[in-house]
Amino acid sequence: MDFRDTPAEAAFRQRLRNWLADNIPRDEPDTDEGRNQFEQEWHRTLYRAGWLGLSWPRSVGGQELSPIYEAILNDELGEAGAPPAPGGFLGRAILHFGTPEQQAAYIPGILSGEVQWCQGFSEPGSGSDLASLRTRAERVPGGYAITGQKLWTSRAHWSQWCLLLARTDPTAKRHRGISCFVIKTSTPGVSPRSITQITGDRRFAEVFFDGAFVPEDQRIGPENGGWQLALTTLAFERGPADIGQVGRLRRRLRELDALLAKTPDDSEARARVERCHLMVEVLRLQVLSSLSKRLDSDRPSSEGSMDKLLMGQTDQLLAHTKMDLLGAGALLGEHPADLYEYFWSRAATIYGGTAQIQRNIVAERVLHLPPARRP
Amino acid sequence: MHALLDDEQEALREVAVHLARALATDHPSDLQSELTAQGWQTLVQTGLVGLHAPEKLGGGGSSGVELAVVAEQLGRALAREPYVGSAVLAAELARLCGADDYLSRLCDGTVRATVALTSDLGAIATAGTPGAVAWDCAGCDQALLLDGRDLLAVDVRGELVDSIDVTREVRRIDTAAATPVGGELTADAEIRWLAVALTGLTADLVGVMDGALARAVRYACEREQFGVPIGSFQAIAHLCADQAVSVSAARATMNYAAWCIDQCPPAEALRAARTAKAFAAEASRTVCEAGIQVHGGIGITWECSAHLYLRRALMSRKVLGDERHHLRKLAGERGAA
Repeated sequence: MDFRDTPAEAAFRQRLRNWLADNIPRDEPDTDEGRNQFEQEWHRTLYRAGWLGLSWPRSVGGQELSPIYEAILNDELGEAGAPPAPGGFLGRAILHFGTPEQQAAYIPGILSGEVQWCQGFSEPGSGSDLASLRTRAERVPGGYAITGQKLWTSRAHWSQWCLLLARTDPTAKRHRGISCFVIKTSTPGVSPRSITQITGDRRFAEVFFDGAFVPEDQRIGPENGGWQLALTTLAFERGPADIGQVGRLRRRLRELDALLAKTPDDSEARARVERCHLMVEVLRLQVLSSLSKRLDSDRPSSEGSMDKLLMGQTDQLLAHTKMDLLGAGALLGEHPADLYEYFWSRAATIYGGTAQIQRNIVAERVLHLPPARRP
Repeated sequence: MHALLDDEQEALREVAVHLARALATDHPSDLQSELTAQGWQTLVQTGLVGLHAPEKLGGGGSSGVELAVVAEQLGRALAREPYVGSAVLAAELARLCGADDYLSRLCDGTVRATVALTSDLGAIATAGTPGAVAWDCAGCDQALLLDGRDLLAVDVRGELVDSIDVTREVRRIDTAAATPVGGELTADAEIRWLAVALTGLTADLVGVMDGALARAVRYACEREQFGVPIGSFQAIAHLCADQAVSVSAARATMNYAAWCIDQCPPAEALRAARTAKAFAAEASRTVCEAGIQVHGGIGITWECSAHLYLRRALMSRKVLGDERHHLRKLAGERGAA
């Protein structure tokens, strides 16, 4: 056990800090499309400076370093208040399941940020129960025709490519008949539409497929073998990026401290802010512990669900505390950024698998309780 | 960065798991038998009592991490041997006071000592404290206390207190009868002691809540209602999952506090220890109460072990301050920084 950086890690961290001091972009635009461009530009800047693809194979433009460096990157970005680094987990799916040709065709663009991607998994009738998805891919000469609708496809309306799950065998049971494809969003028959969220912005989207053609060589993995790919992709959503989330929560703690300084005699407020500090520190150590487990094995484990639960609770605790300290002003339009933060914190226990689904995972795969009865 | 036990620490954990099994309180009826000296002798002989003491005094020269590993497993087993009281609180006090002779006698088992606490259990007792008690004193000859910065010891002979924690003993002591041991506690050493003490108590709490959860999960797999194990109902499964998150987070936080003991300046070690104790103090009560809930009606009976965990957790939670105390201290120290 050693919580310090190794000399190599410390040197990397220092180099990164020096670079960040000169390169963090300021003046984030306040339109959602502007913000998306801003983040994509940041993605490309990070890549050009050599900070992305750290743990990826050299063959696809990576550096083959330990994932610990990705954790350091996210940690420093979060602490510095920089926009987050892209997770790249769609690329992981292609890396694990794609052919060498597919890896060479798609991963470099994902890593470099030259091409924006979205994830077409959920559907109107298939949220937590992803395996019930109904979008279908029917065999046509040279490939497949995709028909159906995807939902919660974040940023689909700004993306050039989509990683998509669709049913290739309607007679097979649930998860056995699903395949994975990559498709250009400019393909005829693909229509993304943005959705306005409770925060007021439009980063979510739905995507309609009306017989859109996808060639055979854009199927990732075997036909009807898409479910394993989906599980791998979702598992990679947890990992070094979570450290960055802790860094961002720590910045929010500093904002809470500043608010508290304006009401030094309010002992209840003080106690609540102290509890926020406690929970962020506990979360930090839980995430570090999971990260170490992850480094000791080659794939994320179900224990990441515990991080997700704790992270959602902590995010929401901070948001509640901030709103209460701000008082009526927050309701009267004086603090739009804090209001945004509050509404977005409600998503923390929904996106990437709801808190209820995470509890199912912890119960069945960590505690080995008998599986819940499902139809 | 590696936030987990390394191979050697993992091997020690295996040893501790094995030893703890022999010392475990599996069932409330186990408490009717007298505690023999054999269990403590085993801990002494395997070097677990002097784990954090220097090797030249007969100790193990190990770090705070090893100390926490052992305390956690003995807590998990509800062992009655006074490991936290003696091997953590008293041995560490003797070490930090420079009471080398006394410490070597603790290590070789010729004396078994715990610490004396104030009547509110919130601090180490000082000479003249009314209502002081020897805490976690099963089989102990003496309890250590302070007079200013001087280390004192008093014989443990007083009457048994009817403590909520039926797995550990508490006795009244007369601090006026205490005599100097030789050695004093500097201001820095006092901070160090508190950091180790809180970490040891946290380790006990982590073990206790892990044990309580394991029993609840086992019961939820066995007990059937409506024709299926109750653990297949999400109402039970989600309750258990939430407790699992608490146990995991408490252990992660404890690990950092334990590592800090030997690797960080006193102030950071204390901050980490307060953080760990505050979180574990609060979580342990919830986890152990959930343990009773999962057992249903049986959980409310004396013969079910679930209440033993809760009782022990409530005690370790209170000793040297619960979450409210440490959150206040953390806020104060943050304000001062």
